[in-house]
Amino acid sequence: MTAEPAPRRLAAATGTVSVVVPLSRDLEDLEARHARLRAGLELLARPLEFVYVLDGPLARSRAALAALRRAGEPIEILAFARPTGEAAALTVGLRHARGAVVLTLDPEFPIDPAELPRLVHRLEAGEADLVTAARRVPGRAGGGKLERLLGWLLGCRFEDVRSPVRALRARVAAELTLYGNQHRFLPLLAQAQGFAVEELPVPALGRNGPGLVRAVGWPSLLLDVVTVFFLLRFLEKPFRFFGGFGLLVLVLGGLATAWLVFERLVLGVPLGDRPALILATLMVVLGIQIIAVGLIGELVTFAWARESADHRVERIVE
Amino acid sequence: MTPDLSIVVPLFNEEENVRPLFEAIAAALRPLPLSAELVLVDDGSSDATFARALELPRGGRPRLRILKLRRNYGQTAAMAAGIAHARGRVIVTMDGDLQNDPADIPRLLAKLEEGFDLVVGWRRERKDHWSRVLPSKIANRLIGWVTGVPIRDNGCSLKAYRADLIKAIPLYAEMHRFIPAMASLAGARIAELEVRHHPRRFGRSKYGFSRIYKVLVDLLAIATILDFARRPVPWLAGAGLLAALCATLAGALFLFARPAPGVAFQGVVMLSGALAAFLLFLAFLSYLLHSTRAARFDRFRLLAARASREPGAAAERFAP
Repeated sequence: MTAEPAPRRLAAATGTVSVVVPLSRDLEDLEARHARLRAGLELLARPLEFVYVLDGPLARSRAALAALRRAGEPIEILAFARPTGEAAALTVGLRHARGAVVLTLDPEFPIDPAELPRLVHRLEAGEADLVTAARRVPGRAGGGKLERLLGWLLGCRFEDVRSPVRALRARVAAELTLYGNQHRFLPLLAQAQGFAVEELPVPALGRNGPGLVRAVGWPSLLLDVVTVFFLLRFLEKPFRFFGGFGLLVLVLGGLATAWLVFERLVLGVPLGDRPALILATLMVVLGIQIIAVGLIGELVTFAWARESADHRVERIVE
Repeated sequence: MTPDLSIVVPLFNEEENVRPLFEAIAAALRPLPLSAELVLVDDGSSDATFARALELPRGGRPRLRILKLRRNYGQTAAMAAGIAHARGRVIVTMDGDLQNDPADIPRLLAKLEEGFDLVVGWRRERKDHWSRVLPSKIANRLIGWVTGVPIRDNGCSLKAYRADLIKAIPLYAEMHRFIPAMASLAGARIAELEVRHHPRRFGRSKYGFSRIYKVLVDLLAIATILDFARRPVPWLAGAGLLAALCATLAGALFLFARPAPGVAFQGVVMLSGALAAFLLFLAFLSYLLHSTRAARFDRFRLLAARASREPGAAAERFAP
């Protein structure tokens, strides 16, 4: 579940760079990490704002950050009373950030803080609304397995979709709302909302390339891919998704049933005791069920169309 | 100030066509005694379409309103955006590729003033490759057959509507193809009018053959929606009862037939019983959906009373 994000504070401070850091666990060396981050970002010579979002009651981090804040660091601390997930933390942080440029970071993500100014410069120099830092292991260009899978399913070309280091324009930060595990696909979702997304290759530190996924992570990742595939392709036309599968299963089941009946009537093969009959009928039943569910989905879409503005008008000139 | 007429044109990578289009529309409107605006919708073009549109003379006739969408959303969404931002009492939509002829607009308006709510263009002589015409013919037949609105050319973008009618029809995904069907549900009076069709002069066509499958699937969806908006419950409930009937008959056969049918047959009976239960529960779900969004379905349903007008009510305004 995601908490309702706090409304974005008005009057974006121009020039300010906001840094949103979601924390999911207490880090022993948070102060040192913050100092390194700060040092890297000082190269920008711009006013800074750090928004730390604590995902749960992280007493140690909270105390450390409060101490830093008292010492004059430009730190905002947001805290969830209980763990709510990175997507929610990120969304709340993005809404809270006031800068014209917002950086998102993972404190455990190995990146040289000196690379961060490059990210900001790239965003401000170009047309892009969102620039992500793509980890690149020396001597190995191109994305990992996940990226290849996404490329095949959705035709998107990203080297490192899940990179948590991104620079966003304020309007992206104001609009993006992430649920569940959607932060892993933030570039894709931003693109679907009509924002221009670029990748900036940064050298990966250590063995942390885009292709590395912990073995435990695969099932949940595959589930995410299916979700994002549905979300991006079929949200408006759910029946194209359900209908395709349903009709396929229904037709196969119908053909199988017809064949069995043909065998019974013409060839005289006894029908009542064959498990094949159950399989064939089951497919017909399943096909009808998938189709019926898809049609309900279509009714939902129809009932709510228009209100969920599906197109974003960027400019009106008269 | 409300203009009498809004012309909505979605544009996707039509940089060469923008100016000729504007000039053709301006020429077509010149003899008409009505105020008009032209709503150009740049559907995330990657070429100079938007820049060309900005170069067009503003403040003249028709008045210009240019929308730029953030990315490419497709024709229906672009059209929906244009319609949402159009202020005229009558809305004409057309393609931006100059295959429709703006000179047909006065005829469409005259037809509308005979008392119709929606006038659909019919490209009798299509100037396209057969690989585009054939799927479209099949699709039109299917659409007419399933929706019960035998429009010969659903894909023709050149249409004229009463604004209050089209603004009440939800447009999403690729629904523009089904506007006549939706409108007929709302009790609109629909007329067909032959329009000219020119071969493409600039740019490339943006359609493919995969449309047949999409139209087929969309059609099933739209038929459900149409039926559902008319009568919320019966559709799924009917299917559920049918399955229940099958189960009962099979069950009776199982009880009374000698020798008794085998185990697999019993399984089939149970499966159809399960399907019946499932569909009935889905019917309840759809009923729930209908009650929570009654306002939406009502608005659509009640449109019928508002949409149809007596012939000639405002005929003198639009007479060519």
